[in-house]
Amino acid sequence: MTRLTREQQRALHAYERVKRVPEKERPDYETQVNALGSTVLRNGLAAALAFLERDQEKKAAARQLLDDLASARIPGLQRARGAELPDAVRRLELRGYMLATREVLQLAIWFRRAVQATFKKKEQGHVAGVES
Amino acid sequence: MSMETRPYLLHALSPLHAGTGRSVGIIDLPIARLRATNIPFIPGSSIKGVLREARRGLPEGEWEALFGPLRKVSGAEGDEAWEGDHAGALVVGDARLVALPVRSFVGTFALVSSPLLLELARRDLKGLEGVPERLKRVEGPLARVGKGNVTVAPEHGKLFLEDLDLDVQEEPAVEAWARFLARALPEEEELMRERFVVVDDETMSFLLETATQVDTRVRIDSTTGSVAEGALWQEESLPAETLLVGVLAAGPSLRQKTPLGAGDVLNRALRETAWLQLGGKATVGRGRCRMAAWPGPSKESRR
Repeated sequence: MTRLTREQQRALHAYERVKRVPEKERPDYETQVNALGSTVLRNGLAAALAFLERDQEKKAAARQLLDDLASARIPGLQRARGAELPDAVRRLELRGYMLATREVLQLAIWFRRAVQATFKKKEQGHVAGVES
Repeated sequence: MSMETRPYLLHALSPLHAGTGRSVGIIDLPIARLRATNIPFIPGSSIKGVLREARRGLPEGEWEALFGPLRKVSGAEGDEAWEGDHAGALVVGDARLVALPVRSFVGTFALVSSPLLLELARRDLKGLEGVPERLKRVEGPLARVGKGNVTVAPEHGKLFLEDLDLDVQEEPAVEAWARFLARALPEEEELMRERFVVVDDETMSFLLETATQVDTRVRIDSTTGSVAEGALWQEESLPAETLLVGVLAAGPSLRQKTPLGAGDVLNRALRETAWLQLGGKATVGRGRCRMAAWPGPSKESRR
């Protein structure tokens, strides 16, 4: 069996999921991805996922990002599906919560890179570092 | 050549951004961290340049003896020695985080440290009188506090830090550490004593990643009045009230006709609390710091 580093696994997952985002959802998806890491840092993981949870009824991109995070097999949250992820995080005990937060931060980096590499320039917004 | 060392305390009075340049991570402009431990630090090279300017009031000969003469030509060409050229007698070490201010639901904020951070600081503080004992590592998540800590919720006996609810234990050594650190800045003794908290290393490692200050900034396009394309970025800083510890070392002056012993060099470098402008983003209010030393001589010397 081929062994991969955890970074490779996160990267493979992020690129594979980002490629599937439909064209019309991409600007919204990019906004959600770019905000994810800093929202986790500023407000905590539970609040960051609650923002996505709130948006998922109206925005397919938020629903998609929750699915994409849930399928990344975050430690302690492997069984949660996209829409269940925010509630599963709210139920984590403290150690699990800290671990999940750090894993999501690492994932957020790869999702951001994947978006920058995959989406065409006109689909991208004001975020620094996305210009070609 | 014998060297003497003397530790210093750095107190951030505004958010402090000692950056590493642009990154491809979550934060576009992250702060510098030690590679293996992820502990934030301020490079000694940053501190030396700023301290050099802060000590401009010294007689020119002494100033050159401490910091070395300025190069006549900048860049690689300036590396060539000239007659009378000499190295500075002062060695400025990195300042490493010892306590991070973290938002607390009770008491506004706590100054949070950990057994590992204090153990690393103990190495730098070696030789000073009254350095507290090492704190044993404990199974977390747990916070240890001194008597009368204002960040503990009295009715719950817990500490509410950012997202974390932590059980609390009282331990006299925590207060001893707060009082010891405050000896470098005596006017802050109460603030440090009543807010100093020692969490387990795992929890600290989480806070080092998630409790720094992250600001989103934009540049406005003057023709449209809105955000210019590609001009929204995130910047990380150590929050105001952060405490860092580092070491200055010195040998005797190498400047002809300016005989200074190692102790004289350190006395001049740390002669009074220095107000320094450290790191980047100074024009938007980052990097106002105080640098102070503990009173009394350090016994640490090396050859």
